[in-house]
Amino acid sequence: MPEPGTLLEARGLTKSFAVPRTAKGSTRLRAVDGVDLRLGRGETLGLVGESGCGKSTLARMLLMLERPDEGTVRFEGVDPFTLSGAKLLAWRRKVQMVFQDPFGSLNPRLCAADLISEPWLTHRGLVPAPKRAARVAELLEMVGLRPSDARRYPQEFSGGQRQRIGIARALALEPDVVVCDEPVSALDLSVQAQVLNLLSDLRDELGLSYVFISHDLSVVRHVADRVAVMYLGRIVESGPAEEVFDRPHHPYTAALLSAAPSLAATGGAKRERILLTGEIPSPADPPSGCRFRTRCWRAEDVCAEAVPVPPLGEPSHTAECHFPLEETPAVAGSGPGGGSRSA
Amino acid sequence: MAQKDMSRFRWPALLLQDRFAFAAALVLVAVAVCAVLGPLLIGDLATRQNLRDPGREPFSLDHGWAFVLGSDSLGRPVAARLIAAAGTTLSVAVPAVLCSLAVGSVWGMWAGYHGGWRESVSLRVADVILSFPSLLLAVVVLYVFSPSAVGIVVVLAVARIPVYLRTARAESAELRSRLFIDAARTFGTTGWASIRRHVAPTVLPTLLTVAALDFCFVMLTESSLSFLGIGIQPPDVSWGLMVAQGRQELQSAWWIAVFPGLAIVITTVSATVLAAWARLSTDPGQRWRHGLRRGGSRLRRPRPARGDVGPGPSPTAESAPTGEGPDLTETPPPPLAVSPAHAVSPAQAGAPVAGADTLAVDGLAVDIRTPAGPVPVVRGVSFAVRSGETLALLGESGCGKSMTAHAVAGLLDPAAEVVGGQARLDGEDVLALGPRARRRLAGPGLSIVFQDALSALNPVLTVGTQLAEPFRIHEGLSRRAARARAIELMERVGIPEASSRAGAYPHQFSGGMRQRLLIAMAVALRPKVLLADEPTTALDVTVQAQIMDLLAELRSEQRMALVLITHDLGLVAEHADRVAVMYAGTVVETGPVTEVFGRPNHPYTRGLLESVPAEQHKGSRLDSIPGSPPDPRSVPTGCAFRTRCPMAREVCAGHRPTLAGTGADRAAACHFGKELADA
Ligand SMILES: Nc1ncnc2c1ncn2[C@@H]1O[C@H](COP(=O)(O)OP(=O)(O)OP(=O)(O)O)[C@@H](O)[C@H]1O
Ligand code: SF4
Ligand code: SF4
Ligand SMILES: [Mg+2]
Repeated sequence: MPEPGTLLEARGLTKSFAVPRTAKGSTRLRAVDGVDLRLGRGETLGLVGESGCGKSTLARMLLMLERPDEGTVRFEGVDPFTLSGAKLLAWRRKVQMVFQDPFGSLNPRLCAADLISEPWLTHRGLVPAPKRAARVAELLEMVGLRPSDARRYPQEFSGGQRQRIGIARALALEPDVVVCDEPVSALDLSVQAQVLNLLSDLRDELGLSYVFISHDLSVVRHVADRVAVMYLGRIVESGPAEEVFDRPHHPYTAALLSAAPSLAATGGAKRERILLTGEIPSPADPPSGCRFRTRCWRAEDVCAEAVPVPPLGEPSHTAECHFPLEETPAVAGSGPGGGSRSA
Repeated sequence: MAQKDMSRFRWPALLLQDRFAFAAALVLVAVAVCAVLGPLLIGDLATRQNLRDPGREPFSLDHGWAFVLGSDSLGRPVAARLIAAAGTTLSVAVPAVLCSLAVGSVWGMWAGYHGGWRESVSLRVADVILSFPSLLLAVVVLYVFSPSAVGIVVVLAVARIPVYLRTARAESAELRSRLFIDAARTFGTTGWASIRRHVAPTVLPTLLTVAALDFCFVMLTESSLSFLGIGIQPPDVSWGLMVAQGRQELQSAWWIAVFPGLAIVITTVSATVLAAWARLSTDPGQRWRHGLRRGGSRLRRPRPARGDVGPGPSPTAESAPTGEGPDLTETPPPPLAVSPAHAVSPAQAGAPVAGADTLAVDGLAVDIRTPAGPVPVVRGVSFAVRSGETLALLGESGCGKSMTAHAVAGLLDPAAEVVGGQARLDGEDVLALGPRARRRLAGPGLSIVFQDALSALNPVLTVGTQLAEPFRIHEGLSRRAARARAIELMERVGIPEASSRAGAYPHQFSGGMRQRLLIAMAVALRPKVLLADEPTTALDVTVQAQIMDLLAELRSEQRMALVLITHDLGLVAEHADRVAVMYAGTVVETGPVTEVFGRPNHPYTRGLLESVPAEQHKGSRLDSIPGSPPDPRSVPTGCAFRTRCPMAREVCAGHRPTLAGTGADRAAACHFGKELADA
């Protein structure tokens, strides 16, 4: 694939929250700690990591829902945090979000049509009032709902249908980038596949770029061109999806891949799994040096002392580790996934 | 009219509510009419003194309608004065309440929406106003600026602003963290626009209820002011003033104070009822929930005719085999062609046989009571599990898997009830047991692990105490011995420094640790069957792997039968021996996991397996099952899956397929299951 032009870029993003004093005496929780990110035009960037690792906080900073303590966000070279008034509104149009929770992200007092047309109340010039009903119907059809659903309220829809409304609302402003924060994790498997299909159809039709956040590796693997793996507020590995999934460099990525239950394991053919010991440390008291060292089976003394830095230059596949896994094939998930299934 | 009768049948609770609201509205209209037309109606009757005949008793029409409520010490008719006073009273109370409502709510929503310093400053201001006795404030102000209606209104309004401010602040602050407010921010909708569109419609109905109650407060305060001589000045008259005047003569002429008092109370109550009704009917979510709660509290009652449930399954196909439930008169369906798992005949079930099922659930049916009649959510579920074996109950959300587990464990929500079927634990039907026998079984017989460990643990007891509880109750151990056992157990489930952490509270543990604690509690008494309801859904994959390993170890150590309830195909593939796939309240396919996943015999299982985004699909479209799982209230007739099934034919609409054998140890509920198996 040709290197796409950069659309959205983040550098050194850091965000901390005040927390009650912890056992070790810190009062700040660094939810995101120095994250670099690049999203090319028409590209889908998958962001994976366990809960609490800072994925949502990162997404919220990209959307300007949260102001970073340090670092910059650039969209087509412009830092949105320096914008105001009409320029800011114009920026808002370009970057939209689909939320994780299709129940909480829709105001239960508004019907589908009101929800979808809500952005136009702020962006008045975009769709003139007389055309709104027709455009709502169009958007509803685009996301696979019926125009007659316009007068129904969120609680009359199923989870998958609500997520479609959320997607339609994000599309109402004709954005370039859609940040999807766990768009399918609240959905049933049979419905999840429909929504994933919808998202990839829309990408092809409208030329969207996605930042696709998920804890589900198989979903990210399916949709993402590039992936970034987060652990305790930092991106520990990033690269083209295929490479990262097939040849993880970072021990954490390898462990994550091997822990994810997969259909391939059917038949008691128990695969060799990397079983991590210990719990995820609190982001308020991250370990010194490498953050993963308390659970890493490759850790050595140097890991406690020095923070690993990614190699210089900008290779496409990087890992923050002193002892990256060399080209060893992934422990799991690389085999033919449904090998034991017949069609 | 027919329409109305039907809705009365379905929504008795709601209509009752409406009837109240209607009456309340009538009262308020009457008061308003009195306030407007009062002066015309009664002329100077209210002020004309009749000193020759003071203190007439009420309830006599001898002296004309004006004296029906008696007369006061100056011989003025109470009824006429009541009507005359309505106008004055409302002209003080309504503006006072409206002013404080308007200022307090806007201020409170602004403070709550923005948070930060705006919120804290506003709250401090509210505290200052509240801590200043409002009556004292009124006295000072009204003595300084001679008493007038406007003065009273202003003083009362200022005194009540903090009440609205606080309520509005609290509600908006709660909304502030809601996702839909964030969503609005992503379109650039912020500040007042967001408050107007999202916060106000949610907060105002609540404030309206507060305001209605406040009427009473305002009228009584005005009464106190009048008592002090700084309220409404005679010859004007208000209900408050009447109460104040009548108070002195309560002994001799009770009616002078009581009737205006009643007027205040009735007006306030009516306003409150109307406000509550308005709040309910403006919230699209509330109506239904409210009706549900009322319906749920009703006890078991005969089922209405099936037709009322909506386009539900046809009567014969739907009814479940039932041992009890005298209200079930439909003919039971033909017996299952093959018992889903290992075919335990009832004769065999008497005593535990080696190799027999530890838990055999047969035709379990559960209904949920709703205002619209009972809704079947579990419709004849059958499965069986042996000791040392893991059976996965696999299904999408809402398919009834948790309801099944809760019914078996005897932990059903009060709104749900078992209406048929058996659950035999070593041959004994636990569903037929009384609550006490049930409780004795909980622990050594059957125990359950929930998804949400934090809410399943008691937040105010240390984990050591909670873990010791089963030993104390069931084994009668002393406090110390039980605690030692608890610590042992904590060590067993892999909690580091168990003896020191036994004194900690649940919230001091991480999610994975809490789940370990919950598992420890569940296996404390070495149950024969452990039901694990989505035990790892709330956890991360790396932690999930640890928990699943722990469960597997415990299972083989204690020879438990494990029922793993999950929606995760991967988990089933890796950790279960057998699987029962559920759809819309029934089991549609059972068999050994390898075989079922390798060669599904039911179109639903097949579709589910194909929806998994696996690498060979990368980038391409996923094969998905169209549509979404049916609402339990409107499950399609015949085969519940037929509206989404690519293989559906005519027979599927007419006949509900039963679980029938499709191979060794396998069964599927599909008319074409056999063909799928042979294909
Ligand atoms: N407003 C806040 N105040 C304090 N701590 C916060 C706040 N928001 C997030 N955090 C903390 O920051 C960390 C990262 O949170 P975030 O929501 O970004 O995680 P996540 O990766 O999206 O998790 P999940 O997969 O569960 O959604 C967590 O430890 C969380 O508790
Ligand atoms: S730097 Fe050390 S501790 Fe960190 S991941 Fe690499 S090997 Fe493990
Ligand atoms: S019975 Fe008919 S509709 Fe139901 S699963 Fe089988 S083929 Fe599909
Ligand atoms: Mg999140």
